[in-house]
Amino acid sequence: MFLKFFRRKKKVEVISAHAKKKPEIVTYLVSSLFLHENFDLMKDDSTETFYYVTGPEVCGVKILDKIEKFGYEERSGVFAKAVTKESTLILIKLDLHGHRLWGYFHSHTQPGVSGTGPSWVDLRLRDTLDRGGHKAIGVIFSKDGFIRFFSPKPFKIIIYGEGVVKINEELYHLVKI
Amino acid sequence: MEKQVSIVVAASGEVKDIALSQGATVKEVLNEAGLRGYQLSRKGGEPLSPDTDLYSEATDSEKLYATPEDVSVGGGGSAPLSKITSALKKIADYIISKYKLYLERFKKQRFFFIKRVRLIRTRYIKQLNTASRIRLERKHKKNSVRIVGKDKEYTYWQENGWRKIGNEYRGFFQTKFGKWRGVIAENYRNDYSFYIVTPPAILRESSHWECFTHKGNGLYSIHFSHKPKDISSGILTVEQLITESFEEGRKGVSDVS
Repeated sequence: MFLKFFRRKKKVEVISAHAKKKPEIVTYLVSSLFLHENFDLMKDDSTETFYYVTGPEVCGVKILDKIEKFGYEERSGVFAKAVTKESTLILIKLDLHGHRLWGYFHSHTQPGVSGTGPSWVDLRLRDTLDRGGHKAIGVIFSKDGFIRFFSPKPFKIIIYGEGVVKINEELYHLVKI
Repeated sequence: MEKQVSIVVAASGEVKDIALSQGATVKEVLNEAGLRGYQLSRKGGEPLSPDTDLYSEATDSEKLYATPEDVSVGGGGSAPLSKITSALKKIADYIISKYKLYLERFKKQRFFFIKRVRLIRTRYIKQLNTASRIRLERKHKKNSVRIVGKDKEYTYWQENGWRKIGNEYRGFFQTKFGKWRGVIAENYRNDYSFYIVTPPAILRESSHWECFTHKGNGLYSIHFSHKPKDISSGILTVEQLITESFEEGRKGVSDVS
């Protein structure tokens, strides 16, 4: 009886040891110049702009440096939907070239920090990509240069260069130089 | 007879090997693979309908791509009336389609139907970049002489000169027709990815060529229809495959390094 109890207790300990395993932190590297260029692409548009971002991976660090654009099936000031076939072809092309999807950038037409909050549509896309094992980070640009990074997994952002002010781990602001 | 297909989640590095039984549909495959919100397509990007009989549509060991079905983002705000009505219409359509499906199953007395799709495993393809390849090459040259303890049991891979460097095994696939450099990456415990450097040209004419995917710089990844139990059986399978291709005698000896 005592032995049975002892064995059971041990099993619980083993399970909890597995549960304590630290989650992997995904690191992304992005140039401040690239962020400014992206903002310039989006700021004058009264509708939402949306595209994929890819790049190389060096020593586990994912570098966001290449834009992959697709057409829109629907586009307004509060919504943007990619043409599914174009999005599919881009992802297949990336896969065939041994590249991965590292990010999906889009703009919100509202200003300020509150303008960078991901909507339920953004979160739905985030969850869909996560289900497929994508390590893509969502990036939202507000009308006045605030940038929010969001992902279901823990992440770290490294900004290379000047012209970007860090507010917190997820939120940054573009400044004029 | 079961068929096996590989579902490549495009641009994520994840591959899901799925076993199909007769009558398995695309929808069942996506559900089993845990890819809700995805669609399946071939290289051309044309999506397969969810009700397509994938068992009869796909060939054995075929590679299919899974990509998100609805790629949309939104900044919020109040939705226009047209959107609300279309959303309500979608919900109504969904309920009606589900009701029809269950009714159909009930009629066919297949309410508790047999599972026709089985997830064999999920693999993650690692990208070897040039820098890490060069680093491994240098390490490999440095550790060219290695003493193995007398009491250690030799296995096929050790006997054939393969050496372990970190999470990788490097050596040659050796046959009577020649030898070809190989790399085996250990993804996780008892799960390996096999690579061959510049495989013999004769393989291109063989039916097995589909299993070889070019990864750049002459490096090809090898896909197995049945997961090898260990490194040695994987090496033996590749060597046997090369030998068989040569013995088919389509082209003769070529590219022997």
